[in-house]
Amino acid sequence: MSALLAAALAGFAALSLEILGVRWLAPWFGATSLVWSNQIGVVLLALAAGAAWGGRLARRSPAPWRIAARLLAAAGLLLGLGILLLPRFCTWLLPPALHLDEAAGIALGGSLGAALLFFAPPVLLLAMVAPLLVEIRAAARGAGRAAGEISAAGTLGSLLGVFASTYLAVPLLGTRLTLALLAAALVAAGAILAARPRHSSLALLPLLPLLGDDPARLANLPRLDGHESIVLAVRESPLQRLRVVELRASGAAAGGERWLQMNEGLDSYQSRWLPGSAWPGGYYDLFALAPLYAGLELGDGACEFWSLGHAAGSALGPVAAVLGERPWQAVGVELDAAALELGQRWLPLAPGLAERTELRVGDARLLLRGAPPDLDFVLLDAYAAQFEIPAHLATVEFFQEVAGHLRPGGVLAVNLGTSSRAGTRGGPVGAIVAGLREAFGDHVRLHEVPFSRNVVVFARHQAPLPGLDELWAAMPAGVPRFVGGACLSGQVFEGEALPAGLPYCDDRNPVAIEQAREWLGAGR
Amino acid sequence: MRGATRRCRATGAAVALALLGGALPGQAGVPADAREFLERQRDLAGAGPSWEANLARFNLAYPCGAMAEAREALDALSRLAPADPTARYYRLELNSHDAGLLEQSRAGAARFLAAQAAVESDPETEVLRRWLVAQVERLDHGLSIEQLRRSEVAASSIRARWLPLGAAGVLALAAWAAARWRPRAAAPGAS
Repeated sequence: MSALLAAALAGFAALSLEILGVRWLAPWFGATSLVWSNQIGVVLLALAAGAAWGGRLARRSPAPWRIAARLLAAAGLLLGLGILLLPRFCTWLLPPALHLDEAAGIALGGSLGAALLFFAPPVLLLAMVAPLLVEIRAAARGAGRAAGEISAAGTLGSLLGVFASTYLAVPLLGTRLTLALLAAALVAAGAILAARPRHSSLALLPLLPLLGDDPARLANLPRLDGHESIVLAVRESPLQRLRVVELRASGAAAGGERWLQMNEGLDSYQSRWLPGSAWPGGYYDLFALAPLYAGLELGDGACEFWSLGHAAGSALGPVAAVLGERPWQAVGVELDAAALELGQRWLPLAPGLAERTELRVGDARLLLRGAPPDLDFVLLDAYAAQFEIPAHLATVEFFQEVAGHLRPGGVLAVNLGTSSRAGTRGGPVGAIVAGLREAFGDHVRLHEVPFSRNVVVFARHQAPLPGLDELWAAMPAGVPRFVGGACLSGQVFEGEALPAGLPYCDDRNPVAIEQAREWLGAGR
Repeated sequence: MRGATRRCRATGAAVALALLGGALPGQAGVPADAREFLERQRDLAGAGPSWEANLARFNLAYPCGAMAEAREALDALSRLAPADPTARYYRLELNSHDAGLLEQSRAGAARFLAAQAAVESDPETEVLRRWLVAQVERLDHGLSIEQLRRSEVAASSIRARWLPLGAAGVLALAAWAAARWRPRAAAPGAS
């Protein structure tokens, strides 16, 4: 029974480390597909090497049980050392004031190196345990049965490790505490299994790094001239790490704009909030054009729209400012409930906006299927892992579904972050624009966001977009001048001037690899 | 020569405003909102190809982020007076937003400052000259900080590129050392 428990513990710890490893690296390197691939690859390699090595050790070991116990304890101690050293390693590797568009290459090599140095060794030791346990059990039960039972126990432990760490431990305890407790548990289990309970006190060692502040809290803080970045809140959800940062003017006691950041943060944000202003700036302000393109400056009927990728609702202020006195209702869809909670607490909407916005938690594509068929416009600002466009929200079929929920003349507005201005000319932006053209015909227009690497694309259902002259004439007072700057012909692309590409389909969708290629290229 | 004097007066008169408000020369105040920006843009569309008109176009477009429009106006200014220091300063200012032109911008700023140091300006142009030099010095300072940041990023990229190989080497070395280790015989009574 002890052997089965030890196998389950080793499996639990190994797969927990695979999940927790990415979560632990995320504040520095992000949690993109590249980082995940590195972590999974390294863990699998360590599992394979550990199993092979453990098998050799089992054949020649005169005391396999003692060795197995020591391996568990050593894995715990190595993990504890990693908890202490990883933040220093990341600080050494990452330069200050790194920009998101420069980070992909560094994150790729850095996360691979970190996974090799800090996660491969303990996983390798854990993988060595199973063959030793098989050797112990085989004497009484035969090799086949022993291997089957140990393998089953290890796999069940792994299964528990995956789910418990994602859904229970990380949201409740946080990644650092979970890792430290796991390391301590391994050390204690090793001591007990080796019949050396006195050595259990070594389990306190991995807990020592917890005495200091969490270094991940301050990782990759945004740097703005004349401002200091104050971390107001940190939350770890089952999906990602979230942080609210206030950029406070140097010397000021309080106040300043706030950013809701995910994972590695850097100079980017998922929501932005300026005290006392409806206009957060950047691409959010360009969402104000959606009601204008939908012809809503005329008439006074009620307006209804959906905001997909709502987070703290930064897009609502500009839209509400343009709609003025006109009554409106909105539905904000957000995948991560923690982002909504942090938004409500730290980036509150202006009075009157929250009351008119119904919040729903879930996948944008899935929930949109329950939307009415006559929406005035839809705002799409959904990203996974900072800059990754969710594949299923970039296809022709999805855009056709959106069109099916718009009234004739209704508008879809899409924010697209690119790695650089060059990104506006092809790559994923070209493919997404091509998908929009397939779903909306030629009624598609792209605006470059001033002083930014983002573009906002507008597509109108069953009606041509108003000309730029008409857009200028419809512009209400109070819209930031940068929005005007984005409405000059040099910043606007349509027809043949739009970036081109092969549209993504649900069945053929290389957006992840194309985006990774684009961002890796930008960092060089 | 008369063109140069007119240019100088056009920019020089605006420098007083610029010095008071910290704005760019030739700038009739930054528009309050997008509507005002677009109205002024429409008015300027028919203003003709003069130095003053293009100066106004640039100073309207640039602070509002309409880079294509600003570049077009600046190209026109450069065609009208290729050696004019105001146009050269604006070129540096505009190029400073282009990450690919950092080296070029720094070299341009150095050339600008060297050229201005050698200029013997009259009292009429001295205010403008001093203002331009101050602006380019500010710009150059910003660019030097950015250049330093970029060099740190480049060094970090190199470290990150070789890191996996180094880590794999460390692990291989550890594995080699561990493979030489032989477990001792079990103590009597140990399970």
